[in-house]
Amino acid sequence: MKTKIFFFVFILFAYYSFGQVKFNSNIFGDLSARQIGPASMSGRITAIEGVNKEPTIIYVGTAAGGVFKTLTGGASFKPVFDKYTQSIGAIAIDQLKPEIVWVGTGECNVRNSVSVGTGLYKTNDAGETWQCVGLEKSERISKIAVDPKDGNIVFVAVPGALWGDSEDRGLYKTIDGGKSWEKILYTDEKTGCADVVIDPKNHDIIYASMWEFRRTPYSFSSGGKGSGLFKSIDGGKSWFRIDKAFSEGDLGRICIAVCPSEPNNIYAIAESKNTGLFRSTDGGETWKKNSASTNVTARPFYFSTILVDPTDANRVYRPAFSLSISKDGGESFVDGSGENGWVHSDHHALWINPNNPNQLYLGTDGGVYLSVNRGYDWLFLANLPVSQYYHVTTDNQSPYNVYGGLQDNGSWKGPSSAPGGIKNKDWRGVGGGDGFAVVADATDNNIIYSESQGGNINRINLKTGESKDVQPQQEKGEPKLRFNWNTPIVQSSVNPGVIYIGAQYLYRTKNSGETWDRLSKDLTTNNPEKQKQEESGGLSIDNSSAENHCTIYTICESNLDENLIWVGTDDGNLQVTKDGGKNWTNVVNNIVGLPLNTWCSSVEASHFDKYTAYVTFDGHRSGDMNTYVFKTTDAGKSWRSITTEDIKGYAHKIKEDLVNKNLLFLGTEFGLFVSIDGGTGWVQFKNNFPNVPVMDMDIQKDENDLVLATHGRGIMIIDDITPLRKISQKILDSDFVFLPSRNYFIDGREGPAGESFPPPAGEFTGPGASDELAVIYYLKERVVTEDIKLEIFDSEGKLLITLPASKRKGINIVRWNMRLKPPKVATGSKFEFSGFIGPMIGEGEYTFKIVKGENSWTQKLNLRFNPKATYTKNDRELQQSTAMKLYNMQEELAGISEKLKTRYDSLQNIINSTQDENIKNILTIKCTEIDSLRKTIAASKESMMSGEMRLRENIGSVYSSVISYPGKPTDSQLDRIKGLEYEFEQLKNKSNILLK
Amino acid sequence: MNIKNVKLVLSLIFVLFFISNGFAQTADEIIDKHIDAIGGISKIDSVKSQKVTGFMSMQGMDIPITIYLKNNEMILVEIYVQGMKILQGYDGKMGWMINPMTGSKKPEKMDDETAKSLKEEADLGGKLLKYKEKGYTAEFVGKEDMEGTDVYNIKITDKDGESTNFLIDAGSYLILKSKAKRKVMGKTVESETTFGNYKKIEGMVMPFLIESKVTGMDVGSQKVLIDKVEFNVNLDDEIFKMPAE
Repeated sequence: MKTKIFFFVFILFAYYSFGQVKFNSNIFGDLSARQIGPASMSGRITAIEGVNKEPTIIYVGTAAGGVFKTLTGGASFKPVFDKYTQSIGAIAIDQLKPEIVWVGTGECNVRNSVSVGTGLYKTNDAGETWQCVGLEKSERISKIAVDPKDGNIVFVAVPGALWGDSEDRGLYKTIDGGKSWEKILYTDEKTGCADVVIDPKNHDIIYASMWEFRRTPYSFSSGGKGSGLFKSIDGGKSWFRIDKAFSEGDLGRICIAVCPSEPNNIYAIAESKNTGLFRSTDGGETWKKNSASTNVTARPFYFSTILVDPTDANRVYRPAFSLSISKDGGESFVDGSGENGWVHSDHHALWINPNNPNQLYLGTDGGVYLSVNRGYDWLFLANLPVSQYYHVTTDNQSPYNVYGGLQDNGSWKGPSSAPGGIKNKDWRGVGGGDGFAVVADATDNNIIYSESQGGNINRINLKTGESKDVQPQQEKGEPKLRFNWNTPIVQSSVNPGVIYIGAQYLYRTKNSGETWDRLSKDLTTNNPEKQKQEESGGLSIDNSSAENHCTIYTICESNLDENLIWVGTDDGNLQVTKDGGKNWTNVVNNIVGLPLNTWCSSVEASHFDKYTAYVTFDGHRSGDMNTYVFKTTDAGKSWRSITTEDIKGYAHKIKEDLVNKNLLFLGTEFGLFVSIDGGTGWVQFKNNFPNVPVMDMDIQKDENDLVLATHGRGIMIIDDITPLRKISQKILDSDFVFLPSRNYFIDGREGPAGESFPPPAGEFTGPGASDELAVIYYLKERVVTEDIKLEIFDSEGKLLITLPASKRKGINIVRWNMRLKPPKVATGSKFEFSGFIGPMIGEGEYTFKIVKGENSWTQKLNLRFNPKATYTKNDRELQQSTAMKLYNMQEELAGISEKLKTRYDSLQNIINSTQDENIKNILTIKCTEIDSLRKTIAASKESMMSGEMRLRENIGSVYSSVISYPGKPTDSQLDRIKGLEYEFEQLKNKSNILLK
Repeated sequence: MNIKNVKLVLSLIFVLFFISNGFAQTADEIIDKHIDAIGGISKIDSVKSQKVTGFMSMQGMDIPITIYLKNNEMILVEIYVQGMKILQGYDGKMGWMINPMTGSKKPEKMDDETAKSLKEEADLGGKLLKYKEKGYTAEFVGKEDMEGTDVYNIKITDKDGESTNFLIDAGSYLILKSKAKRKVMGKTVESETTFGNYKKIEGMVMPFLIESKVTGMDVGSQKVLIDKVEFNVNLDDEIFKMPAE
């Protein structure tokens, strides 16, 4: 017995000592996301606040892309909130101590696609570090008001949960800088606080609006008994209503503005059956109804901002569809934007520099604009990559392109990589409206299908620029077609060029949308109670197709069998056909633990086994924030949950790897999660990847890239997931393992043609992919006290190059540009640029040796020329031999120059030490000869602009030209080398004489 | 290697060999342990001068670099490119440089901001050692995970409000990374320096691999590999002074 216990303890000890390495976020190591934007159209801006004392410092809050900060008034921005929830409702700066900034998460422009928040955050160091300071269950925060005289006193307006009841709504107050909170105004679990303003001259006076609102998957309602405008004159202890003048019926969302210069002047836009703009000049006792133009009263749930000029109480700004400006206290408005350049519509935020009211920053559904003339003209800041993608697809070109559509911002095609980085100009618009799926015809890359909201699908010919509406139409005797806001359009992987689209029926076209075959009956629940969108909106009817329901939301055809098709619907059906649509089975009831009618967000048929599939469900629109991911191996008869507690956020998309069936990728509202064991465990991918919603993914087959559509930070690419495919428990437990990479080819083009200027400020540039060979390995522990380096040998075992190697825990990547060391060049008075770049290596087997302290590991790689290149083998060989000839000449010249220098120095020593005038004279003559010969070797004049070309520079010039192009050198270059060789021979002769 | 890169390299090269800082009790404790880990206070105090020889690695091209340090206030950095010398020096009072990359081999006075960074590098014990005497404040930001390794984050702030965060390995108390914020041309530039290949030389533990990069710049990182460190070498004050033309 004793022995047994001892044995058990020993085992336990052994386990803890040599325990398994658990797959965790750090394992990804050097694998990092490339955020390629775009920012051409930016994305929805929800809050803008500047530092009054230093108005070049501005914070910008976005719909789901976090917080960006500029120190330069907008010339450049950087994200400062990437570790936290990316949906921003409100920002406030403590203007007495502007390093203190408050950020309320959870956007409050509560459209159908709005994200969720996780509370209130505060920084004490201008955005360097943030702490969550409470209100974690608020879901969304619309306004933060900091007491202008005491920054510890802060009011926070919490509209709260959008899709369900909540007691966490209302107006909150802290008097200790966020340590404790008191709910000081509350109506009921349906009514939240939409706005709060402190009287700038008397901080006991507070105005707050309460708002009753609710969304379901199929409707929206703004307004109700709970809504109203309140005032307190005792710092929020007691409240009374001041909204009698607004409407006799129910009220909806109310936004308020108090004039900074004359705080008794208050403006309010009050939603009701008769929405209007009201002005009070007596602190809300009495009101006068002013302009009720469309823009002023437009979509109160979406446009809830009104501002007054800091110095002029009659100058009012109303950001809505456009920016309306009034000079007469809201009696009349003019449209301020657009005359000298378009401004994106739909405005949600405006910051007016209080010390220079001519300077305005406007936040729209398409980024931030700056005006320096009070809002009449606008400059677009094209450097905020906060686009909200719904879908992404790729093509098979090189570099491949990414396609996708964006909320508020149409559809786009752009390159996955570009010389000098991917610039805004590299993106091409391929569709308007809100953009969704974009699919390039795999049989003809000039043909793409592009979608806008509500299932509008256009076929576009990129060559001719023609666009044709090819949406399936309602047939005789059929009910009205119901297309989701975000209708699925997918291309068959079995039959390239064949396209599927879903309404309540599944359609397929084999002739580019000219005819559509209906492949199903109504696959939804077709519940008439969920189809009353014409009545949706509450007090203000708002039917934009955003609430369309009982529709198909996701389609997946098996790549192993074109007749096996999965369809998921927004009302919770999961349908499968095994016979190309003749028979359908709704298998959702086989899923245990899934609430009825939960929105099916994605289905992924396995690439390895016909009857295996993965599915995600998303119940957030019903107030259910859980993650639902399931797997079947019997075509839907039974399902197993593969959700774990490590996943955060409701699920949008699951993707199975194309090579390793146990490698799964999951996109949720809060980021990207990866499993290496078929869903048993999940870890979040955090490398350069904020907690941003991931809506869609594609794996590009040629490059093995994971391409992600984020709904807030544009397209992200994780380059080359090949090493990830190899990660297993066995690898994790190894001290060192080489991991494979994608194929890298010897190319040798130097620099992008015509792209000589680095990107300027003011424009976003997404990084391009590296074409340098990657040596990849796994390290169990970080290397701290040992040397770690990479040695590269040619096939004859000659050491070509030594590079410092990466030393972190997890996956390490060391890059090599596949060039030899640069040639040694003769010393001159200037730098010789050919001495900074080596010639390309040739084809062959290379050995890569990682040396770590006393240990080393080697792997061999056969490196080949790029097969897609246009150069012949002979061309390549001539280029290489020519480059090496010049390389050797340059090195030999350097050797001669050094010898001459040494001789010169030693002669000078003798001259200086000898007393013999005769010897002195002879040696001085010799020194002069050496010196003049050296002046023919390399430039010697002390001027950068001397333009001096000597043998070193002349060889360098041809060398640089030859190594920059991997094909045949020009005949002229080859001739020139003959001349240089002659000159070199002559020089050698002269030098030999002098060195005798 | 273009001129911009060289400038970057120069601004990054002034890399610290031991660094520290603290403010709360815990910060001081961590700093003390760090000082012990790198050799102990008396050992460090006994070092009056230092010569560091190594090279910068740029895709296989090895650019020789030598750094001379004396009395915590003088520094000279020599970089040899194509046989030409790039020099940066601080003689205890002023900074200067010779940069043939600009087309001139004439010595030039260095701007105050760069000179300040250079001066800091002359501090043999690094910022953490006796930080209070040097007028710095230290703050223990917290224990955190750095690429899978537990580290203590200690923030040192100087009188100008410029700060450096040191990420100290919770096991060995060696600095794995530092993140500095410096004002350059009125703008804050953030840089990150990673330390590795620690070796014990005459009782002192020093990083032999130093990797620096400017945050947010797409220039890649600059790697410096140290070959040799010598202590208490005889260095004439004159070598730190700006040479006549």
